[in-house]
Amino acid sequence: MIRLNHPTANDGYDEIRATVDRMFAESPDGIGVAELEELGLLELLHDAETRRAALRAVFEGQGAALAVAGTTEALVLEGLPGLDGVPPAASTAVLFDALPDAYLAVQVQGHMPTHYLLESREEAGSVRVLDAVTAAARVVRTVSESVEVVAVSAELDGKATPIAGAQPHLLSVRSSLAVALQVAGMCDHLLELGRDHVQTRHQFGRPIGSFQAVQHLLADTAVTIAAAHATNDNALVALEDPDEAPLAALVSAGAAVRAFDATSRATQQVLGAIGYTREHEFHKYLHRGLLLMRLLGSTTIDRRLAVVARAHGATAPARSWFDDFEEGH
Amino acid sequence: MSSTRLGELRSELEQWLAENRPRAEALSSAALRPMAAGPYLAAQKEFQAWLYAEGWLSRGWASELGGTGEAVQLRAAIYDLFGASGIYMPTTVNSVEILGPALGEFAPDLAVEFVPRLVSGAEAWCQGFSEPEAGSDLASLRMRATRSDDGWVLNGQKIWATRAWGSDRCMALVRTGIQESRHRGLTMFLVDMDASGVECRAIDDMSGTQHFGEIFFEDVVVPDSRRIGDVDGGWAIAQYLLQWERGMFAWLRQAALHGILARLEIGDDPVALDRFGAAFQDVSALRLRALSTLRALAAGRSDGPQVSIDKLLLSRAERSTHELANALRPVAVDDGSESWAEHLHEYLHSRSAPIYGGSAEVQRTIIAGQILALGKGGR
Repeated sequence: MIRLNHPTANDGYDEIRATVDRMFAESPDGIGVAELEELGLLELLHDAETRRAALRAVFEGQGAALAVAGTTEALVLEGLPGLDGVPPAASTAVLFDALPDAYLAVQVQGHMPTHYLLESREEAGSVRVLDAVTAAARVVRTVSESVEVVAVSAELDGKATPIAGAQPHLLSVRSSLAVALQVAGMCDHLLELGRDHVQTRHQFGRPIGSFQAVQHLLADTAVTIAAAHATNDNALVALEDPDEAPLAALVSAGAAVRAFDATSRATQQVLGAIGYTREHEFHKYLHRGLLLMRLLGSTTIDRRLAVVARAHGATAPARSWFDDFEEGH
Repeated sequence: MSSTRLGELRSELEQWLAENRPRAEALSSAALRPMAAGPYLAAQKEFQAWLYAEGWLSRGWASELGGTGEAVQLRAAIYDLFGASGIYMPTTVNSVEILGPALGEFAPDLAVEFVPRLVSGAEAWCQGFSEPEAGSDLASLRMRATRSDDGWVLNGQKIWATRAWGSDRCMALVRTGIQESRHRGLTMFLVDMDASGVECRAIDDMSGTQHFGEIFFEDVVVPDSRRIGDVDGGWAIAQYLLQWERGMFAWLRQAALHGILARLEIGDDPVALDRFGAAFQDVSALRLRALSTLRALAAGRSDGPQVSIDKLLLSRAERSTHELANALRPVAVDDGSESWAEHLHEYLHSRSAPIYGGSAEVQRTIIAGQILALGKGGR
């Protein structure tokens, strides 16, 4: 692993990440919420001691492995405890507000949802549930062939039932952070791939990683990934704070978009021609990443962020830094 | 989840500003106005001394260093709250934050003697690092200190020393080993700027002020008691000091940049909104990285190469914020506003961010070599 922060006290990340990596290596295409529960991962999320490290490890591991799993659903449903009308975790899919006329969901293979969760457009921030029959989800083709993506018409927003008592914006905050964390894990993996390649690929009698042009390209990439991790950590700290969470999640989504853009370009550049082939794994990351960019709404992220930041008085997120300064992260 | 302590501090500042805002704004503006080195430094010191007297800048420093004995996060909180209120700290506070902790760490006796004057604004200090032939390649510096009966005799030249002209003392990195020893043969001294043999020349800069200066040392006698840390141990101090520069200086800057962003009139223009969102992200990333560096420093676990990432984020945040500000209220032509000269100065100064304190290229090389473990062959 390439470390992009100051050393920290052991928070359990490495251990959880190793478990997660094994799990996704064994079944990369479909891990439902029930299996996550069986593996004890959901318990780790509920434990305040391990929660942040576990969330990072699960989603970053998922991103690095390009795995599909019910992790986003688990994170969203965890924020709706005991409320009426919340569908069972194992049969729910989270919809992303990703297209002008439709919501999109990534489906775990072999797990047909009976319900979809969405965040309303007509009543901003309202978390709603839609049954699968009404949703009439249709499979859409995407750049990422290895995942099944379905679209649900945005007009059905009005037919979905609001979940009374749900924190406004909870779904967009949690699902966006779930993706931002996956993107960061993916970028870590790509940077390592690029770094390893330039260390071993020789031209002009020396490793190409000894050329300053290559070094500086990867260094700038590392900076964008470090920013993504810093903003993700902050969004995790702010997750339960209704005032802070929406802006913190948007900032981390924005950082993820930039990190992916920089990292995918730089890695492809240093890989050269081999990176353009389907023989090399790079294309899978590019394809999946481009899909995740749609889920994050990458084309409008800066503008949406600006609107929320200005409503926030353009003050920085992370007001709670002061009290836990010493434990830090 | 918002902190109670922080909330109390915020209300305290609001109450204070209710009475003192006009003076605070006047002094803050005066400190940003482009001027010659003398009046510029005087404006910084006047503002700093007032904030100290009002009880803001004494907090978070140990009592023996002129403070009220609380911890570093209190300083960080105060800078942050002032920035958010649109009052920007005098730039001499940058030096307090960069030089104060280093002296405290490596020369506690000297710190007790001198840091209180630095913290209170009674004195201003500068850093003597770069030389005409040693900029990015700092370890090749040539200014020499030789042993004498009275301590040390210094000869050589420093350049690009920020706020050098008129400053009271200089923390100077000087060669005590052979030239070939590079970074292993350097020692740090605290030199009085009014000592015999010290000459300082202010350098006119493109922002209309004289931010930095050139210092000439000719047979300057410095007692051994003014040595900071070990003989030939200066590099470690420079590295430590740079960590604070990355941590607290970056924090001071993010506070100011947030304040600038909050006061920009964006309207609903989608392009301006996009640029605002991008700039806000840059400043947020800078804030969060600087915070993690400050925490690591406070816990004694900071890792040198990591702060090179912070420095590149600083350059990026300065650039996107000031370019947006310049797009919304262009500075090239006097717009008749009272603050035009300050905005012009701030904009022009922002363009030095990828150069000062270690150029962007040097930071990238450090990241590539020490974080990504890429070989030296290409340097």
